[in-house]
Amino acid sequence: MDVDERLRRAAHQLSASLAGERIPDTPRPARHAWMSAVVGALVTLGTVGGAAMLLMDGSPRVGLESVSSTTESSFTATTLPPAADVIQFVSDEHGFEITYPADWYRADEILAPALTSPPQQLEEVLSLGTFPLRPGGVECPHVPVNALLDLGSDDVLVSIILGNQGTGDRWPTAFGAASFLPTPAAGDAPIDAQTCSGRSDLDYHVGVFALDGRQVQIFVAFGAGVDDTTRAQTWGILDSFTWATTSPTTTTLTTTTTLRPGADPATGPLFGDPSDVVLLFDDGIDGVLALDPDGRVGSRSVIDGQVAGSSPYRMTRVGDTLVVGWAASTQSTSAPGSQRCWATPPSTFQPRKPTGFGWSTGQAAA
Amino acid sequence: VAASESSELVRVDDVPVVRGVESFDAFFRREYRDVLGLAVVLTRNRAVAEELTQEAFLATFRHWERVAPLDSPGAWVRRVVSNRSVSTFRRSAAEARALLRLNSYASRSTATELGDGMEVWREVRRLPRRQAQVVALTYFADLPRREVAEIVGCSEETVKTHLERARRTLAGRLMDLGEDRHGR
Repeated sequence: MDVDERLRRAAHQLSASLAGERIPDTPRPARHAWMSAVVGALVTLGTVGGAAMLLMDGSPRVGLESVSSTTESSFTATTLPPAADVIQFVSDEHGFEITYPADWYRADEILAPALTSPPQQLEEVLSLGTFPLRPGGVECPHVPVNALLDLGSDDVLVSIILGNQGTGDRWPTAFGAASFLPTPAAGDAPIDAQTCSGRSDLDYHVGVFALDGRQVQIFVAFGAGVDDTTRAQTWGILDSFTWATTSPTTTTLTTTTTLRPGADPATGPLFGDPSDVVLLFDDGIDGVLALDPDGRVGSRSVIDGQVAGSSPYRMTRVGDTLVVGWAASTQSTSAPGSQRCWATPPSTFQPRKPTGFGWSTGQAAA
Repeated sequence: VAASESSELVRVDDVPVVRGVESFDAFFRREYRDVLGLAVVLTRNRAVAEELTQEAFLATFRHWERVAPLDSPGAWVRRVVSNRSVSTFRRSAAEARALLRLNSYASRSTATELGDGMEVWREVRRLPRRQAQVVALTYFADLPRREVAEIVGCSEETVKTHLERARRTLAGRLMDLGEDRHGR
């Protein structure tokens, strides 16, 4: 029997075995259904790997588990529950503290393992929600798609992203809806969040703030039915954000590098002097890997449906930002009708620019 | 692509719109078994294949407004499942979910259902992933070369080359298996 015939026979056998297969219910995005519970459990078990981000020192970046401890707190903010019902979260790795209600969920993994902006070293450092937080999503790795899909009408999602630049709006003395700039007509994170998740029913608040020389980006999504108490609780959580009094821990490598004798192998540019280069690798199948040797960060993004032979990725440098994608890249200020096209074809992963404007994606322009 | 829409899943302008729009439910019912079969061929086991199939249809559902008018929505969902089947990361996630799901009910054995066929598909999976995709789409999905090229994202000539190489490799391996079974 030749190869052709064996393959056709194997195909026939498989087809026959599937002929009686029960067709399941039509898939629909999960909303607080069993899928949320299952994936939530998986997250807890740590069985779904956060393989998207790697540190340049080779340590796998598997989420937020390096955070040192959670302790009871004597936090007394009026918008949060009594001390016994809150958790004080201390991140030694990123050097901040925050307090949240004990009945909220904290993500064990980065929800949006995006290629953001290597020069700014943006990093999602904490996500909290009133529901089990499911990382990733079918597409748009710069948006917490799965978490948004699972967000119920009375639920809230909060993500905190830190950057190494000190630019942004002034940190509010007390958070509230007014702390966030109005959403531009197009090209802002909420637009991406809406487009990627299909959740245009949510109330989004996205802000870029400067706090003590560092950048803190806040992403909040409220379900349509969130009451005032929960909203106040959410703002209270953000009000509790402070830099930790203890210094962030440093990583000491036990290995040595032969790249540049004398250079500190654990910090600073990998090659000693800044290269001002970001390396981008298309694996030819379904994704792109970006490595920033200066910031020692890497990020891999999986592109659904992308295969060798598809439209190639385009890289455009705009200012200090590397834009990667397929179609037009548009800068948009918060003023209506102020879009300006920077590059064609568009970008897929763009960092939000501080203070009043953002990069619009093709999705936003659609 | 719906040029200004950045969903990179498919290039709409490559696929002419020539027919009316079918409901997603009807599409799902019609295509489910074949897409599941393709996933079974390209993955290790049935449960993982089911997970990947669900993921692919879920992606299709989310993009249905743009996928439905395509000349071949079936090619679109096959492309997604084909890519995810050969993506280590995607497969790992699907395997983790499948593992959890299988804890709740008895596992079904695909191997016993398929008999010798499973042996053949196992050898197909050992091929370079592009060759494996081409073989699965050609023999199991029974698609013409033009559609295989569209799904895999290469020229028809490249598909032909992949297929020839795959056949050559499989001929040797399947012959070895046959000889082993007969006591070599």
